[in-house]
Amino acid sequence: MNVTILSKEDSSVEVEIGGQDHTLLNVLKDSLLRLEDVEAATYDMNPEQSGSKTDPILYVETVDSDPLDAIEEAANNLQEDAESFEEEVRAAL
Amino acid sequence: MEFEVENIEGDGRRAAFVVRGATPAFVNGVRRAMLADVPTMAIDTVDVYENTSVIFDEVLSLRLGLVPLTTDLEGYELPEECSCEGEGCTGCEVSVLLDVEAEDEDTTVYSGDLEVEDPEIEPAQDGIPIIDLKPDQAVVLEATARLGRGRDHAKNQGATAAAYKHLYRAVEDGGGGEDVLRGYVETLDGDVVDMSEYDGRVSEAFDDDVGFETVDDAFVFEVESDGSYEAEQMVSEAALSLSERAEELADTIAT
Repeated sequence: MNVTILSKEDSSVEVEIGGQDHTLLNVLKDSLLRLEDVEAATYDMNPEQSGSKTDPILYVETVDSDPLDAIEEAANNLQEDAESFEEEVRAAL
Repeated sequence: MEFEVENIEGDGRRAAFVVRGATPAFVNGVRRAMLADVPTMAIDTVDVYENTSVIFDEVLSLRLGLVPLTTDLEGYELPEECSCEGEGCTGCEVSVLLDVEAEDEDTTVYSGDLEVEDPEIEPAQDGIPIIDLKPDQAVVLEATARLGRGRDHAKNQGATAAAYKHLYRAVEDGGGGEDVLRGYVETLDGDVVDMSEYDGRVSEAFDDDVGFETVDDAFVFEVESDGSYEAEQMVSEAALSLSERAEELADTIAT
C-alpha cells in the first residue's frame, strides 16, 4: 500500500493512501473518530476536483498525540474488529 | 467492537443474518468489500478455433466471461499477486475447453458444456444457455479463467445481492401506527421474525398497541452469491479483505 505523507504538524496530518476507496477509508475514519485523542478525521476521495483519478487523502487532527500513531492505532483496531467479525460469522452461519 | 452474529436463514448461496454491536461504517465496509473486493474466478481470455455460429467471437467471449465459476481461493492467486508476475501459470490461471457441434439438429450450448481442467473449478450452474447452434454449426475454443475483482469487471462480482438495513424492534405500548412492515423484526421476546410469513401485516404478527423502533447497532444482512462461493464464505472473505488492508496500512504507517 502506497502511503504518502503530504503535510505533518504536531497534531495534524494529511496522508495520501494509494489504491484505496470508500471501502477502507470510511471504515478507517469511523475507527479514528472512536479514539479519544482524535479531534477530527475525514477523507477526500476527490481531492482537487480530480474526478477521483487520484488517490484519496486522509486528514487527521489529534488533541495531544502524534496523529500518525492515531492512524496506526485505528488501523490496528479495525483489523481486530474485522477478524473478530469474521470469526463470529463463521461460527454463526 | 463486540460483535454478535445470529443466523436467520440460509442455504448455500443465500444467507440472512443479524449483526449486533456494529457501526454503520463497518457494515457498509463489509458490504462494499463483498461487491467489489472478494475475487472470483471467471473466463478472461478466449482463443476461438472454430465459430460457425451466428454470433461474433467477441460476443461469445463476453457471454463465457459472465458464466459464474466456483472459486478456489486456496488453489489460485490473483494474477498481479502471483509469483509469475501476471504472465500466467498454473498458480493463477486454469484452462477451459468448449467443443460443441450441432450435427443434424438444433443444439443449445450450455454452461455445463464447459470442461475445466481443474475439477475444483466448474460452472456454478450447468443450465445457463450460451448460444443456439443450427445443424452443422460448431463452436470450438479454449479459454483461460483467472481470478479478478468486482471493481474491475462485473463478471467478478461474486455477490449478486449484498444489502443490510437496521433491525426493527417491537416495543410495548408503542401505540401501534405501523400497518405493514417488511423484512425482519425483533419481537418482544427477542426472537427475529420474517414479516413475509405474515405478508408483512403487523396486525397478524403483533398485538395492537405494539410500536416499532430501529436498533442503533443492529443490522440485518441479506446476502446472495452467484455460486462462486457459499454466502457465508463471501461474508467472511469480505471481512478478511478489510482486515488485511487495515493490517497493511498499520504496517506501512509504522515504518
